[in-house]
Amino acid sequence: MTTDRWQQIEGLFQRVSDCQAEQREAFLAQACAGDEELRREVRSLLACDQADESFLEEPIQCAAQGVAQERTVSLVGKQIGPYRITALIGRGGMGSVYRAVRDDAEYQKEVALKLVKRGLDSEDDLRRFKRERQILARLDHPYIARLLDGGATEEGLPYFVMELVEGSPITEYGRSHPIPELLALFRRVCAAVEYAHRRLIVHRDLKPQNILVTPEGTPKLLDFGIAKLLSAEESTHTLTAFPILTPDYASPEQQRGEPVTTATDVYSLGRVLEEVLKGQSIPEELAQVVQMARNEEPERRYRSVEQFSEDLRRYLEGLPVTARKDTILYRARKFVRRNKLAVAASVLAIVSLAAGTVVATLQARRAERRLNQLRSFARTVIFDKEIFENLRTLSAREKLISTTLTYLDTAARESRGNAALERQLAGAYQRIAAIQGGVASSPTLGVTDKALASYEKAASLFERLLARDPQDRNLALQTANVYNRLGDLAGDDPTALRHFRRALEIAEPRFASGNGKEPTFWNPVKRAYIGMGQAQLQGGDPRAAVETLTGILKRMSSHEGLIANGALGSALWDRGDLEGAARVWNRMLVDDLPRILGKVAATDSGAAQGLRSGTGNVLAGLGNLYGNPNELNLGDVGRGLQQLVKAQVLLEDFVHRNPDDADAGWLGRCYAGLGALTRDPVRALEFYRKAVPLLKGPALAASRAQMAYPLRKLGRRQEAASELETALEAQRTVFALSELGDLRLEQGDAAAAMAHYREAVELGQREVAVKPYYMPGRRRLADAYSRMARLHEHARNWEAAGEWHGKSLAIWKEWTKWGVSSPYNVRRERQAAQAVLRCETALTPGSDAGGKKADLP
Amino acid sequence: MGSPSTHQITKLLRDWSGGDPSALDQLTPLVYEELRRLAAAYLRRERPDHTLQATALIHEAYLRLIDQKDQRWENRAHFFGIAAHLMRLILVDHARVHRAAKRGFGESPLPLEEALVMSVDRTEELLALEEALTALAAFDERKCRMIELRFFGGLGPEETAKVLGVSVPTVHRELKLAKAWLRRQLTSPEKTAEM
Repeated sequence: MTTDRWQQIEGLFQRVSDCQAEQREAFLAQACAGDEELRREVRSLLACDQADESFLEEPIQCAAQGVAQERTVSLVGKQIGPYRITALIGRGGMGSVYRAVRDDAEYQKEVALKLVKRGLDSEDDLRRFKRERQILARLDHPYIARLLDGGATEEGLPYFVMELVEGSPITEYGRSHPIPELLALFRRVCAAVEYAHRRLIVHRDLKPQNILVTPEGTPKLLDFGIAKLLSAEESTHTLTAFPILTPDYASPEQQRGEPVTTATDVYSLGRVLEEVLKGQSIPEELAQVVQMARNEEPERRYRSVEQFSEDLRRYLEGLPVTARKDTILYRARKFVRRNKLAVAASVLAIVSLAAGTVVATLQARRAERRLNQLRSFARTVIFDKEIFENLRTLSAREKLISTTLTYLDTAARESRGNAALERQLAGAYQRIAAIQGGVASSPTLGVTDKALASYEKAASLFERLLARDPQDRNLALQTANVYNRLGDLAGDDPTALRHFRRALEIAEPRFASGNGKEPTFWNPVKRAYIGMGQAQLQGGDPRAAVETLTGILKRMSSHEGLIANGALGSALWDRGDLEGAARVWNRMLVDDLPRILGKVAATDSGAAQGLRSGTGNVLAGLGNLYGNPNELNLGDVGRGLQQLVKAQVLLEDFVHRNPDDADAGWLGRCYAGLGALTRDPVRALEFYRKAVPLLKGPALAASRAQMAYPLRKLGRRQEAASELETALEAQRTVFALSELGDLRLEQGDAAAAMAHYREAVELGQREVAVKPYYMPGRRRLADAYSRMARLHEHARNWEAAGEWHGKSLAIWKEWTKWGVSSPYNVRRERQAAQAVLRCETALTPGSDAGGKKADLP
Repeated sequence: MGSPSTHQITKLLRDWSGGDPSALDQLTPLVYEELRRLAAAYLRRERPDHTLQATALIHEAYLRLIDQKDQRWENRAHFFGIAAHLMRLILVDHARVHRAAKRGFGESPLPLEEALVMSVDRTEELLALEEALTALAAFDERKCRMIELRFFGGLGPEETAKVLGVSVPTVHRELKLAKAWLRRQLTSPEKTAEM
């Protein structure tokens, strides 16, 4: 932008803002004098002139917060007390450790300086800190890194200066040494801890990172007593001290916030030894020793580090150890489970800390409790809409879900045989699945698969539980519900039926055993039957669908039957029972729907709207049933149009109010129906053009193929061909193939027409074989036969034409063997018979129609 | 770790306003470091739920760095002018590092606590604001400075006016347009400053 232009904009902006609101437009128009761009620019700036400043303030605020939360500003090169920081060694929960030198003239010595994150809040804190430091400074042992100095920075952050130890954690050392050597080293560690214990100093935070081994193989213990130094009065500050502990090594009593004794260090040493020995094959006796050191209950551990060390010596020398055998098995099993769950627990600890539930986390030691946390975590993070929606990106949500799933899977592997755990897990999977199924408002590919996988996991856990306790009605109810969801999600996949059947197997006998007075089981029974009916309908077995749906409708009160009746109408239609379908839907229109609508309209506008759209759907269905030539129909175009127009009004209104609703598809079908029933090809095309964007899948392909007809009528063959080819790319259907054949014939390409018709016939035959009771399929095949026949008639090949018409006639004659009779098949049978007769007459010698046969490909 | 003495800073400010451009080069890292240090120290002293004000930091830095006996207004004005700009640099740097770190996650699963932190992440908004400010400065440097002083430096209209040597009504009028322009820029990013 040029400065001149900007000044022009600015001047005008200021003058217009000074105007009264109602005069602005006029002033602006006059001042711009035809410079449209200037007017647009100033107008859009005025629109953005709002008092709210949060769009500037908030991001700045958040960034400032972020800067402040950065752990520490780099201190390298800085001075702390008399020490100059030279490098960062590491960062941990407590703070950062630096390499530093004392810059005094007297001596230059490298030290480790540990800067603690948390400040010392009061004078008392400071005094106590000094006192403790003096005690620690007296620890003088070759395996303990000496505390040299300490103090507080300008901001009041405590720091410690320790002997600088160059070494690696004892666990790393463990990888490359045999057991006897490791035990000898470990006993030296024990000796150091023992030394401190005799001076009544407990380490409290023994972990591999605090037990280093120098390149010469000397162990060095770091941070002796520092945890205590920072924890202040147990009673008031325990919680703040907790986050610095390492849950993997801290003893249970410590995590519970109980008083810490030397037994705490025994436990941590046991855990460390366990880690050191990890990956080696540990003889059972040694495992017993470790197990005893790290016993959950302090009183069952070695009474001192000395005893622990002594038992290790006995083991090394081949003497029987004192660790008692009897508890081993039970404890060992429990231990294995614990450790695997520890992964989940430590993450939970982090999350829970953030959620302010420190106490609960640290006190919950038992596996069941952990699972509870997992659940509550899942509830708060994933099932709390607000938090979940705050994770703005889909990928963040997916990651959260997949992380949770990982933990659930871990827990599931370890929970075999533990009914309470399995039950909670199954519930958790169920909820995750519900989320997965609903993550995307328009389900994308793969979303359903993921939800299905989680439901399957829930189902298999529930099954196992139910087998163990078939009397548990609650469990049975949950299991049935999961199978119903599985069925819903499977859609038209054949597995859907299996899921609904299983739901029924579980729910139906339990419903029956309650003498029909068990309303809790009525819902899953109902849902399963309706779902089964819909799956059968979609799978092209209307006969089974009719049976299923009539069966359940008999057991339902009339107000329950909307969905089932809707589906029943469709199923009857596909059976060929057009009058039956019309009866069901008309009854819904004149009776069920208005009655229910009358009940809910006043109280629940959402439900009322839903019912109106339902009414629209039924009307659209009826309209097509009466007169849509592309469907089996009752041949009443006038009545069909009347219903479709009514449907259009209702559905347009609904879609207008609920733009995201999936019911837009019904409006699409309604438009397509109007397109098919409208004689004027221009208007028909308009309807199809409205239908196309609202439809998807097979319905979309069908609509495009149907559109070819009005296009052909208008002579727009090129467009017709392209619509048909698009439809065929999406799905090869008998209808589209037949239509394309018709078009090619019209264009004079009999060979191409023949090829398309032939493919249509073959496809139709296959479909009829697979779905024998799906009557629209039989009708399409009959259509394909008739087209073949007409092609031959066109070529004056009367014999072949007669044969093809005969095949078509056979379908209509056999109609009632597979489906239900209606005026439609009666009419078509008559037409087919006339065609056969026509060909036979033509074949009769002397007939006018004879003439010369043309050659056909 | 010693802070630079207040005398030192005050002297540098004086030198700079007296026409010594090298004084600014010396001054900038000192103020920058002080701001960062204050920000980092902040949370350790405050309750965790306390909201940190970027602008409060600048005022605090001023109190710490400038000799309070020096009453001359221009020193204060210069200080805030520099500090507001530095605050913008600090925050944007931080946002860029943060974004890079986030992208660096790549294949590894997002740790849960990371996912939680992300829920309040407005890094992208800040970076978009920075881009818009840079665009604005290209044709109207002064309005960009006004936004900087007002929102990154927390200066009131009077102070802003003094720092920039304009009248208070001018500050009001120009800020009004600057905010409208930024809002438009940030809500419809496809509209560029090009006309």
